[in-house]
Amino acid sequence: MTRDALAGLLPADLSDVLLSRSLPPQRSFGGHGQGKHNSARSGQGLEFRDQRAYSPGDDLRMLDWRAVARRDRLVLRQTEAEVARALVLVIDAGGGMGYGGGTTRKFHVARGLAAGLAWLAANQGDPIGYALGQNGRLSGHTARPRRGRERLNALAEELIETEPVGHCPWLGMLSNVRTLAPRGSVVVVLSDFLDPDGLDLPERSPERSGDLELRQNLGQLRVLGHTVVLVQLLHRDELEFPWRGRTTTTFTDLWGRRVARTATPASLREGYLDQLTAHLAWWDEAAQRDGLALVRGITDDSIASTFLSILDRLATAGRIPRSFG
Amino acid sequence: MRFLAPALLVGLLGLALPFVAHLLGTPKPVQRPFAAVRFLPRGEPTVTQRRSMRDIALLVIRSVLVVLIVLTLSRPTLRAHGDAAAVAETQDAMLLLDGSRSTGLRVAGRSVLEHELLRAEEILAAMPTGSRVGLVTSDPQGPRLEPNADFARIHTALRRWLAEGAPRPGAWKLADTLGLASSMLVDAGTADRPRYIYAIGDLTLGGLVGTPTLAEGGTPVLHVPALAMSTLPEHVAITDARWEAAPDLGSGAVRVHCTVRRFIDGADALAPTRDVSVALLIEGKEVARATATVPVDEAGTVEFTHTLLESDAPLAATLRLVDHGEDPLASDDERHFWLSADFDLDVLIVNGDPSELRAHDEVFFLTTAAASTDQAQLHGMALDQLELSLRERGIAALEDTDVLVLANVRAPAPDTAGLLVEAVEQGLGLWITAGDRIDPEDYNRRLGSLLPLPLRDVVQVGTAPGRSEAQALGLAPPSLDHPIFRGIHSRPGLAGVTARRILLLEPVEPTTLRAPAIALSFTSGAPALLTRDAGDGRVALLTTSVDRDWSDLPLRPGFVPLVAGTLAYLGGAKTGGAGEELYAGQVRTISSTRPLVLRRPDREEVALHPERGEIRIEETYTLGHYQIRRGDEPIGWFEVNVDASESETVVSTLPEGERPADRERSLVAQPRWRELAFLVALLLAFESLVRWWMETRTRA
Repeated sequence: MTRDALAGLLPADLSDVLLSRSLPPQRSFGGHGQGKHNSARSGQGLEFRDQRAYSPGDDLRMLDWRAVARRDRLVLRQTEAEVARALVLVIDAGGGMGYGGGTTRKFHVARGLAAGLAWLAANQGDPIGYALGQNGRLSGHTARPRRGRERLNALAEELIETEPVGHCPWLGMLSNVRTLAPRGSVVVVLSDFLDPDGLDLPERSPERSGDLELRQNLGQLRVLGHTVVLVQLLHRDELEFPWRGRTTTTFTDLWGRRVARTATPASLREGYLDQLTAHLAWWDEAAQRDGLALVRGITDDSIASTFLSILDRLATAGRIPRSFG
Repeated sequence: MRFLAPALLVGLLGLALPFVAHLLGTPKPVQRPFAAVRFLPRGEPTVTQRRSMRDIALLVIRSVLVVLIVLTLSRPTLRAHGDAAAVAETQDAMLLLDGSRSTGLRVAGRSVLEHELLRAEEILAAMPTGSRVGLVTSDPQGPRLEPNADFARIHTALRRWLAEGAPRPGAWKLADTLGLASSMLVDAGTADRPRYIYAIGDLTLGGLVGTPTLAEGGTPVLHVPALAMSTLPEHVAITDARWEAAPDLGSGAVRVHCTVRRFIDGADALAPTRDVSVALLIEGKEVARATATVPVDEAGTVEFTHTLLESDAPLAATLRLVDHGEDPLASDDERHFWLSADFDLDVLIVNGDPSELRAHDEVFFLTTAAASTDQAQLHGMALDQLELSLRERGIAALEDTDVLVLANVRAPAPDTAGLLVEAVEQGLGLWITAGDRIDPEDYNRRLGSLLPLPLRDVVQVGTAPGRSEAQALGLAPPSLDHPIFRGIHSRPGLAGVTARRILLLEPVEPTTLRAPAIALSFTSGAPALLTRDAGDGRVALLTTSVDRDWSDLPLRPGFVPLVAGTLAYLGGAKTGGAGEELYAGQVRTISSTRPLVLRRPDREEVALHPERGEIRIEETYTLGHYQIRRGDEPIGWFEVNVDASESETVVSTLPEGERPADRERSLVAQPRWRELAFLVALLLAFESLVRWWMETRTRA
């Protein structure tokens, strides 16, 4: 398999977008090897960065002769050093990601986005790492980014064969990423972020313990110098709760961990929408505070538009400061 | 609304079941996997939901279904005046249906008989459970069924009866069949349950009007009119057909008289008169046609004259109504009779005052005048001889006589007088001539029902207290309209008659039973010759003597045609003597020791075998001409016609208090559970549809 294997996972509209795009350059804290991303250090590269006075021993080939003529003294031209930038994909393959049908299935969209990002990265020569969390299991040590056809094949194969089920082992996945991802990687997390824990807690227990834990682990990645982009994928049913009738309905948990709720949709709708709105607002605030880029996509919207949003966020992600407040 | 099984109404308590089910029932929840169960509010909203009513539409439909099923099982009935109904108690009953020919009248697309069948079915449907019902009709050939709980056989028998041609002529009156219905009920046993007879018929004298409300043994007879309407369509019928020789018109000439009537209540008639065409057919071929103008409430007559060719055998003749549109009752639009060229009149003269001197003999002039005609065959007999013959043979002693003349004869003995009356009513002509031997009181007492007017007194004309010289009366110009003077268009030759003594008559108002026609009057106005119809016969009374004792009438030129005309008129009462008329269903008895053959109107020939020296012909329900043969030789003829009374369809009124509306307590009503059962079936289908639609909507 080559990048063609990933291409098979790309929807047509996304494929068109990929042809004219690249992963945006990032302000990084350092990378390894030559790549297309700018390094924090000056070095040999093509892009002008700054000027400084000549010091004995500097490379005379770097003299900026125009500046010398203007200033009547020796000035050196500094350029960005192009270094390789790893892409690490963290994909939620828990049961909740299986909601929806056909092209509106959340995992289908997540798979398409992941394939698109990987394709771009491979096109630029960037190493790729990935972690899929499904039914309490991690997908090996693939979090360590690697280049090459073999990695792409493995990713494509996993994306094709994985069926979302069970709960996603966030802590283990993110721990692997922390350990295996090189500094300055771009970490894209694809999930719905609806129920990371899934424990049916008593009513008065801290409701957001799972969210807090996840948020904390994601924040740690940011602290380690990674660019973290959260891609929250939601089905329109989850967003709007379209059921209003009085026919008794049993809502069963796709994660398989919460007790089913049996009631009439009419009696649940208002409370559900209130809680969902609060949850989304919480993640908005958390992302802003922790310097995480958050992209929200609805599965029946164009996947290409969601992808472009991700690229936009990546482009600005390096300039998002952390809030320490 | 009433219910034949009201106890089952307790099932209405089951109305609570749909409510309970809809309140307590837990429908199977729709399963919906969801990723955001976390955000669904906690609590027990399903408990709240179970306590509210669900699926209101289905609840309403099911509640209505429960009610309808309970009502259907309770057998509801509704009152309806004039419709058939059954008494609301388990019973033994007989259905008595009027099968007379008048029920063939077509009303609203069905015959009255078919309406009767509908009433019968309604009664059967309303019968309480456990009842037994039998069937009898006024048709002697109709079905008879003993009371039984199996009503299906009654339906079958009625349909078969209709298919076999009912109604037929010759049916009994409904009242005459009541005894049979009553005896069938009694024979069925079960005295511990009530018995009823449901008499279903039309409102005519032969139907319900003439039927009592209690049968023998006290069984109630419930009148069920076949139709609710009191106005029936008009129909026309030939009610009488007669013929007589017409010698005044020539040898072989006959006159045929046809009487046509309209049967409709006068208030309902659309036109005061109606023209009806009548055709005369001889041996199946139409020979003449005439139009009768028929007023309402009266008969219209039409007369044909025809000359018969000489023939050894009588000819089959028919009078038929033609071109009168669709008659609602067409079976009485024909009348059959046999015409014969044999016009001889058999005249039996009883001489009350014989004399050896011919000129003084009472009947000398009479017999001379009668003998001058070609047709009269004269026979003479003394009264004693006649009385003896009558005592020995009854009216058969006069079966070969067309006209009996009592010339100056004392009144016959009481026992023979009755036979004479009977003979005249059966068609014998009777001519009574005055004389000294007539006792008015005896005649009034013994033959009063035949006399045109009661006799009063013999008077000497012109005598009065203080008058010494007797006077004489002459004859006034005769009424040439009288049939006696048929063929005479000018002076009859009776001018100059002087009568010295006459028989005075009581002046009595004419009635429908006694309507004398005065052919001749004296100049004083007193009747001289008057006639009347008595049954099928005719009677003439000459109030002067037929000899020269009281007047010089015999010496006048007009005496001979007067005698001939009177004898011809009196002898024309019979239908030519060529055949005997029977009504449908009547039995003809023939004395014979040898087998005979009967040819029926449909040309079918039936062998007749004698029993004890006589043959009974009972199958006389087919209308038309019958011929009896011994080998190849025809020996007798008769025709079968409908009884004119069976044509009566004008609605009579039931007596007050006996109309069905006056006896509401004995009527329940028409059953309505069939309609409810149909509604139940419809609603069940609708409920299934609604349920399917709601489930489909839920799954979506």
